[in-house]
Amino acid sequence: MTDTAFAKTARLGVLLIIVGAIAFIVTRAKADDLPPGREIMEKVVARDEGIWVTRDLKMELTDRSGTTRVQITKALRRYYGEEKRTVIFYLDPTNIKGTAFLTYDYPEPNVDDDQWLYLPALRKVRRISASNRGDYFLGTDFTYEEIKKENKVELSDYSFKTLGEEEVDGHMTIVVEGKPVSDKIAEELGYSRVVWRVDPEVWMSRKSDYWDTNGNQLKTITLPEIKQVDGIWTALRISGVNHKTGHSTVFTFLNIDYQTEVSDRMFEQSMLRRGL
Amino acid sequence: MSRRLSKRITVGWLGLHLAVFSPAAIWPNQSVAEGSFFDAMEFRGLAETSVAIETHDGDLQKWDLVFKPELNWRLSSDIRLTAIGRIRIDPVDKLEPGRPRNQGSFNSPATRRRFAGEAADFELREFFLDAYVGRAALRVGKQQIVWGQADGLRVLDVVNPLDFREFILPEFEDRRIPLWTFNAEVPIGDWTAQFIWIPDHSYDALPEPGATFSFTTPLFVPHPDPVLIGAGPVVINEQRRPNRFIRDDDYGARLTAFLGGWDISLNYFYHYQDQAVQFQHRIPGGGVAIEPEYRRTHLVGGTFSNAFGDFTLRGEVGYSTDRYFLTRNPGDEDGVIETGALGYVLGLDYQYDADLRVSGQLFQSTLMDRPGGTVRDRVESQATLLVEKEFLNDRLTASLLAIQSLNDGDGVVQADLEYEYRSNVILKLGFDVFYGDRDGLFGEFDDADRVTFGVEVGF
Repeated sequence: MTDTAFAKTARLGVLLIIVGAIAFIVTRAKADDLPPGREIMEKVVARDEGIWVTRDLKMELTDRSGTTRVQITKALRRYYGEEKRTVIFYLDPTNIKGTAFLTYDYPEPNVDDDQWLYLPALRKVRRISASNRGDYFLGTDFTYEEIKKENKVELSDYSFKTLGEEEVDGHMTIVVEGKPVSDKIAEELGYSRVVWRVDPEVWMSRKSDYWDTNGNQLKTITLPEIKQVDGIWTALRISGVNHKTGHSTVFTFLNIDYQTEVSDRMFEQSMLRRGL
Repeated sequence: MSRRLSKRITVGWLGLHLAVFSPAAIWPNQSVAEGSFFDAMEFRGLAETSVAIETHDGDLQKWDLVFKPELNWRLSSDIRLTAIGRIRIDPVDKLEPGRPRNQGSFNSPATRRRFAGEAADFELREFFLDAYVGRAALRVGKQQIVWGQADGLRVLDVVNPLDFREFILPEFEDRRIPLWTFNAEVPIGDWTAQFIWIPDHSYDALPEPGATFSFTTPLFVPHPDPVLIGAGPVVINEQRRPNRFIRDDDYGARLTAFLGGWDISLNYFYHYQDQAVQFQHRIPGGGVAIEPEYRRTHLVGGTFSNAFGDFTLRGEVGYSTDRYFLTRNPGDEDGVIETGALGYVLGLDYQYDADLRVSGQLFQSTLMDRPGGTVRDRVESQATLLVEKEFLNDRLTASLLAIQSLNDGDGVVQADLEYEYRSNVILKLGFDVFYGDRDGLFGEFDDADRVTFGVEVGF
């Protein structure tokens, strides 16, 4: 290497270091100006969901080859104090119509959910073990934990850190990093790191990136359409892409109703047998 | 998503099938016409074509085409009508050779199938009205009612009789014979009470001699001792179904609750046993007359289930009074003994992850009294093992089910692959293998081992 080339390289190196340092200081200063990650995620968790809701859910599952399977369900949810009960009835296609999935989700993190599955072929409600939180829900790219939490998280699972701001689809968001508080939690969730981009106007993450327990980028979840329904901010579309498998899932919510009371009987086992 | 709707098999009718139900020809998922009357109606269904090839000689065992149309009509927010039919065409005609002549022995006129020639039959499988009256839920009409926690083993799941046309190979949903039933469920505090009244006098449908899955095992079929009956004939008289309204009807009640994390039920069923007792009487001068009769029993029992981490424990127990079993005792007057019988099933499911489930069950049935000569053992045990694995985001499901008699050493293994080719198209491949003592319940069908192919299309 000539002296001139060496000098150029050295100057470039110094420049990069300076730019990097400035960027770090600016970002740091920006992050320091923003609320702490924990505070932001507390607001996400505290977001109003209504006491009850009824909605139709269209699930589009697309594999690497581009083949898409479509499933139509009706999902109902009701809070009983802090206990949340959710039931999902499969309506289409005919091959799985009648399948239904009922969950009682208790507020204590150390208490397993109670879950039941109705399979039309058996005509029987089957008690099933509380799913591992990191398992994928019925062929989708969302874990049981994500389905259950509905764009929220369990605060005790992560230590949070605000990284800065970022624009997503024209919305300014606060970037929050979450790292599982222990290896055990990381194994349960299936993640070693999550980055949420939380829109403070709606307190939802518009784009979230997930890394697996080996540190490889695993998947991205985006909420491209968020609107107020009955005064409650609601994701109308949720998209999940698994970067490892190339599989993707799109949830589209229709006929969302927070106003009409969802009756208790919807969350009884006999309702699974009878169907909607 | 665990086992799919049925285990039907297929292939030969595939061409016709796909021609009729190519994507462009598939009915809309919810055929809704204009106007409020039709808005509340939904028509859908399944079409399946399947072929089964016997492995020992390569012969076709069946090659059928089955349509299952279903109509749901919501008459109001609390009232709904459901009708499910079945049209089945099987030109191979080995499972039910000719037109069955014994339907009247098993099924009430309102429950019977209708036949067109020897290869096709039609059936109104289910036809019921759901209604809510206050907090009570009523279901009135032809329906299936399933009790119990066991899979594939029956202690309390005896409300509906079964069709043994393909022995135990098809899904229970297709094997149960729906009955005309009044069914009410009423919440009472933390419990739900269910009351059922079944004025439909229909019982297990057994294949006639000559059919592929016709029973021959001495456990169920009398084999009179030639030394005792001499050179005389064996006369099998037609079984007579009970037919008195109210008096011969079946009645049941069940209490269910979810208490302290446990799902529990208490069951009672006063009913006719679904298989006729094979009474045998010697004919003066030689020979024996077999006179099948249906007999009543009281069944009391209960179920439980709970989940512990990745495991689910489930079980059921039932005691039946007045059960009848064949005996070879030459001194016995009618060839059967009467006793109470206690049955139970213990099951343990292990969910390794969302895609892999392993399930084991132990079933035992114990006779309260077993005089010498009784064909079956005092304690009969069966074990089952199910391994089910899903791949490719649940597009592909592989399952292996083994049922083993611990007394006779015979059993059956069913291996299935199901691939969701499209949302409404499932391709199927299966193997059904029987093994063991040919006098055993499973071993008697050793020659019926088969490989199966199928396509199921939802419309």
